[in-house]
Amino acid sequence: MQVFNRMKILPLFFSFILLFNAGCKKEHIITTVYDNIIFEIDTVPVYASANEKDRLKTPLQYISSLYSNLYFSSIPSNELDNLVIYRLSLGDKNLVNEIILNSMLKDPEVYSSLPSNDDMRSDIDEFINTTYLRFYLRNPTEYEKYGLREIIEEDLTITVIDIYRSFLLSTEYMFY
Amino acid sequence: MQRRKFLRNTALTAAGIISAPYILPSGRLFAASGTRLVNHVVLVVFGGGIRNQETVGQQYLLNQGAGPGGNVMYNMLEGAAPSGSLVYTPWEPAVTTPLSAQGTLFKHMRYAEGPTGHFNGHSVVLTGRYTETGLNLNINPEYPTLFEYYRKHSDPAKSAMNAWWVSLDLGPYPALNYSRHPDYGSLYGANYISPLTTFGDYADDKFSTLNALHPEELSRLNTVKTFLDKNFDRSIVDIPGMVNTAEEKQEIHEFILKLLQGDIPVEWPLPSGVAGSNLTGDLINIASAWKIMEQFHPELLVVNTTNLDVCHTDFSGYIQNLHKSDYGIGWLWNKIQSDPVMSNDTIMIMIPEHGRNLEPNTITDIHGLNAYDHTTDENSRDIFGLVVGPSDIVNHGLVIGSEEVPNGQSIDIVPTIAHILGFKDDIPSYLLPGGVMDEAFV
Repeated sequence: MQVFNRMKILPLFFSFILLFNAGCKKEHIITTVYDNIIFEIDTVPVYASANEKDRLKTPLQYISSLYSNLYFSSIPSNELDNLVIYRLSLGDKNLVNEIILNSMLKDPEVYSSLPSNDDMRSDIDEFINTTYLRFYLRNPTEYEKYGLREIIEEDLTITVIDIYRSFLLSTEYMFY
Repeated sequence: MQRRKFLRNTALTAAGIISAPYILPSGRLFAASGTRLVNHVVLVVFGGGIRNQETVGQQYLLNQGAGPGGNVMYNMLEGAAPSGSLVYTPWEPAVTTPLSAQGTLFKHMRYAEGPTGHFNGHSVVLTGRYTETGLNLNINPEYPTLFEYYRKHSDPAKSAMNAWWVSLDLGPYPALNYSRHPDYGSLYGANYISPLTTFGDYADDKFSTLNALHPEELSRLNTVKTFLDKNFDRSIVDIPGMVNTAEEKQEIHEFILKLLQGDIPVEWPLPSGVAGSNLTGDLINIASAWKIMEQFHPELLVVNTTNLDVCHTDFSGYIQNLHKSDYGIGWLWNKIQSDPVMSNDTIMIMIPEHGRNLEPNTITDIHGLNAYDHTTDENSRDIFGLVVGPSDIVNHGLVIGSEEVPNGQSIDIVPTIAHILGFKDDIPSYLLPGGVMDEAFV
């Protein structure tokens, strides 16, 4: 069991803390103990930085998180079994991850839930923040915000799917 | 005078080229020293556990006292078929000349040490090291695999596209594409594929409508992913699994999708007029291995068959599967000989991973025939090997070894393939206790 002491990301929760602190000067120390943070859907903790991720996801964890990140629900157990077995059938895990991810991104259920490219380009900063939180469970650094914004702005053909695919196949996404 | 000086300088230059050390890009001082016999090797772990009695012994039912002897492997071995009491449906052979006449048959080889388990047997053939009882099925082997030796010691270095491990079953077998040896490992691993799953019903349902990414999509993926990876303190080498180059990964991706979508037609190893319902997992695996060969022309490919393990409960099914697998091997050799790249430039080696017991277990099949396990008795250590290839490289029609004086061991396969592909002398000698099956070569 792993114990983490981190802040929650829920905006309402933050707002509540800020209001409470503004109302009185008493100092509050909030300690939150998390178990199995990857699968927590309702209370998602935020990493302070990418450096905190030092453990490799198992195939089961990787596929589960992929599914829950895209479908906003837990993966059905038979689907998980099938995908874990399929993933075993190819030695190049980057390749088989790509096949599995592409099939999910093509699923109308997922596709229809994606932000539009117009949404992305209308507020790139917001898109970047949201995407980092959604997939990396952390806020982007200033450098990351700047760099990714530049990539999106310079290439008008980059789509939301391109960005999502890159995050979900990136090395950081393999760790927690 | 000038001519003499020219000749002397030429000679000195040539001598310098021959004798001077050369620092290779890999950091090695000397280039790979061996000369290749051919450029392609196909290793068939002709497995599931096969008794020599029913293969090279050609005893058919004689050994059980239930019928005549005879050869049920018309494609691999010379010999007359059983005269009657057929418990299998005979197929017309795929080859006009049995493979033993196109190569050297090691009639009795030894699986000398360790348990005769399927994964143990595969590990021995692929690492050139005998295994112990406590072999861990869940992790990569301790000693380097054939694939790692090939990729690390070939010069110039070979990409994973040249090394394939085509396995019928999943279980522990995916772990045999590279070892956990500190000097080798996933960096030198082979492409692993288990076609029954990769192209199975689930894949057909789930992935057959996918398209490979367009070059523009790949370029954008590469741009963004590179940026993201640059900001994370781990790299791809921290993730288990072998890695293809981006281009080769894409080639394999397209190949898989095209096969799923039927854009690459698949031929099955079946005689004409025989229905597809006669296909076994062994034959599907062999057909898939051929598709990989036809598409990528790898220099080293290992494919296995395992359906004969039905012999634990069904001797007749074992004979039938032996007959079918033998057909598949003949069919595969024909395909290789019909390929412009691999024809006359390929050596194929077949060896069971281990044998089976001399004494039957207590189970009989529908024909009243005894079934056999493989529990490490002496009979289960008696195996055969067959090496086929071009007549100017491989001795044809030669039969070596007897029950009394076996010749060769399971652990000889790795050094033999290293010899064929010219990197044997670059492998540290302490890693490989086996030797080259020299008798096979001209």
